[in-house]
Amino acid sequence: MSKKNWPLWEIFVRSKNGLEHRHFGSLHAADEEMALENARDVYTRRNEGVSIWVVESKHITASNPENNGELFEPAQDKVYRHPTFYDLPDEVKHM
Amino acid sequence: MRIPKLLVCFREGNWITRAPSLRRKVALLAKVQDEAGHGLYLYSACETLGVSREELYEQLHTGKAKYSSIFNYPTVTWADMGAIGWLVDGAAIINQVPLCNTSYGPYAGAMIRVCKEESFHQRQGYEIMIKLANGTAEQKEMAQDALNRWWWPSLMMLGPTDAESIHTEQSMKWKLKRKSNDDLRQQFIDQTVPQADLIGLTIPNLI
Repeated sequence: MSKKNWPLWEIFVRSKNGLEHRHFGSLHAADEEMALENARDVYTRRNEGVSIWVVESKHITASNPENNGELFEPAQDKVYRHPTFYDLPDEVKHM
Repeated sequence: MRIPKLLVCFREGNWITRAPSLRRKVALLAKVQDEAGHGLYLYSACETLGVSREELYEQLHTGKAKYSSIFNYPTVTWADMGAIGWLVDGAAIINQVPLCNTSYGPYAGAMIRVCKEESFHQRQGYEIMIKLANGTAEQKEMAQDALNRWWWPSLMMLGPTDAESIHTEQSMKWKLKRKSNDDLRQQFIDQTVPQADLIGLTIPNLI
């Protein structure tokens, strides 16, 4: 038996205008048109979206969790990048 | 993972053309379509472990992949569509809600989506039972008969007793499984018995 699968596609759905597309899941399809049609049937049967993006999974480059330290730890000790680091007089209610 | 949701499509799909009204027909169509979607979510989650779709089908066909025995019982009357939605989907929800917090991310993601869609399945089933239970004597008898046949298989869906379950200990340790079979079963019973009382049906072991 052949073990060939149709390519895998990642599905992103915009739930309403003004919001970003979010990752909803993945599915197999022969081409982009079929991926869109299947995504519509699988992920938007209850008005979940107004727009669908499909991207073949192989085109996504992901960071390696093993590199999380060098990638993300440097941000942890930089509290001065957050507004709460700065002292304001109580009189200034909003800034 | 409970992949053979796809089997629902065959068992309940058979009843679509025999649904007694358009309301029942569109509901059952939508449910069966959901179940096909749930099968897809779970297969996709499984594929993240490196197995191909084709291998998974092969495992199901050869019997290597296990599926719940609930799928082996025949559906002999329309009331079975009610009892299955109410009891079988009800038990499935009890089982799946804690799995939304399972430690394996792709499985948890699939379960969150499944749970969102599943509550309509149970409601449409219970609505069928309500109608039959309030119908003619013959219809009520059909509803009671369906409850009698599906009650024990539904309880069995929650798995063997904790003392006899061979996977529970490890699955709980890995936080794949969050509640034990007996806890889930008790929760299902506590939830379902009052629902049966409300529509004048009797849980078989209380007869």
